Amino acid sequence: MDSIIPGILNCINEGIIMITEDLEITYWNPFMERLSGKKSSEVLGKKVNQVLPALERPFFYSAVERLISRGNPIFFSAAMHRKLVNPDHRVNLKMNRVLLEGRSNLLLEFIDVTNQFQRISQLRDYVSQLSHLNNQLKQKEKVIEKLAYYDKLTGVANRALFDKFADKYLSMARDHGTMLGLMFVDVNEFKLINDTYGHNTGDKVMTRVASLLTESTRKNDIVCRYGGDEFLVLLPDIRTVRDYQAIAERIEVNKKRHIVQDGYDIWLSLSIGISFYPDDGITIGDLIEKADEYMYLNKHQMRTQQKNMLSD
Amino acid sequence: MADNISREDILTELFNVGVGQAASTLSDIIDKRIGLTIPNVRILDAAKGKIELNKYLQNVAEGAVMVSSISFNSQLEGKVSLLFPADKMHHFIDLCLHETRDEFEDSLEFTDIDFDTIKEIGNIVINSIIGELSNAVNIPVEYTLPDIDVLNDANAEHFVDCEDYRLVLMMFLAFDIEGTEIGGAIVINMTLNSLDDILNKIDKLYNGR
Repeated sequence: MDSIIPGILNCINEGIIMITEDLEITYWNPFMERLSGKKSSEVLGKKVNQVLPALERPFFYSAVERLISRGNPIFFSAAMHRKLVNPDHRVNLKMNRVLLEGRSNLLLEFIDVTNQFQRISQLRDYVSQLSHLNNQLKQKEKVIEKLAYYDKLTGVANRALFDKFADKYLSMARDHGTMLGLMFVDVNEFKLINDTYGHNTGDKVMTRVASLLTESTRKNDIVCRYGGDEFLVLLPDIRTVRDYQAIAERIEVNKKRHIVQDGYDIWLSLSIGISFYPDDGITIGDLIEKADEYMYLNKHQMRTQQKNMLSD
Repeated sequence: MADNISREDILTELFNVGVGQAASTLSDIIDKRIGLTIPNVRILDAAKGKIELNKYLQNVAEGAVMVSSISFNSQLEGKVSLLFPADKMHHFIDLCLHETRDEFEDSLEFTDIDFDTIKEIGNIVINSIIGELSNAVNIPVEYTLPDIDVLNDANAEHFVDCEDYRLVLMMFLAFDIEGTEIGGAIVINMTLNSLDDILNKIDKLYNGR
């Protein structure tokens, strides 16, 4: 049996070293020669910590001491010990005590796990690339969503987003027995602003109106650019007149005012009409039509007031 | 009762000497300052042991643990399990390996490299505890390298066996790597005879009885 063992150890695909209690190498198998690049004849009789300098550390000496005295196996991982044999190979090291003729010998098994490290590293690279691509995709989705649902010039909702929320808010009002307000806002004499100060300034004025409406409304209200100089505002969850009045008062303050844009002093005035579900209609179409009608009444009143002021 | 308290105190002292050596070995290996302490050891019957362990599993580990365990036989018979909260283990392994991975830090997916790292740490810590106990009471203990496992929905039944093993040595392990603390638990599930052997030896050695 003893004569078979060296033959077996020579065939094993693990680096095998046998050492004495005082660390002298008594056996060094062919796989260990390949792992370390050191021939058996060069190392036999030498101290293992001199042949493999990575073992010249307190943790190794104390492991040897423990192994000799208690006999329980020791394990060193390739991850925590990067250059146990040489920098090109990652190896796990298992140490066991073998009693021969009443004396302790130590069996050191070096298991090559370099391929495992390479595979895991490749997988991590793939995961990292996928995660990067995923982030890019999410960014693009946000841009697409922005383009699909928001007005390019003013940044407020477009009609597609308005339609989405209009249906949702209408169902909510129906289910909860609340009112849904719909405000129709028109920028008076916007053509004149464009013709007088140029389209570039006109665009900026339109953006200011969008901001003014957004700042005057609540978090869940939806401000939408409906057409060239028209905006719609959805006001969900109106329970009392007071809920609406608070918003209306904030808009009223800014409804007629001078603004300075691109160095021009511009007179800005808004005509506003508002309709409510269910009193003015039960569909969004009804509510828009009614609010539009009220908005024209408001525009007419404002013009009459202006004429009266001028004739006085 | 008074006997129990003094025995638990002696075991606490013994195990702290052991984990102190384990901390010094680990500090040498990973080249970082490591603290390992066991605040106290409790000797519990299986039912109480299960209650205490389930508290740890729910409160600290939230049910998912990475376990490093060995069974031992010869004169003493039983099983030691070293438990860590699984969701903290990626960070813990990264600290040991001087690596940083931002992605999937809380995931419960581990590679063979992660398992081998914990196998080495488990081997060092369990060696220190069982070795110190074996040395102190002069009873040899034989065991193999630890098995590593991740249990997603662990409960005390996994670690405490009422039929064959009657008593539990339960201790918490405070693991500190350069200021990052990870709370582990160690459960030693032993036959009554084995624990009796240990406690009798302790009584003889320390109390002269």
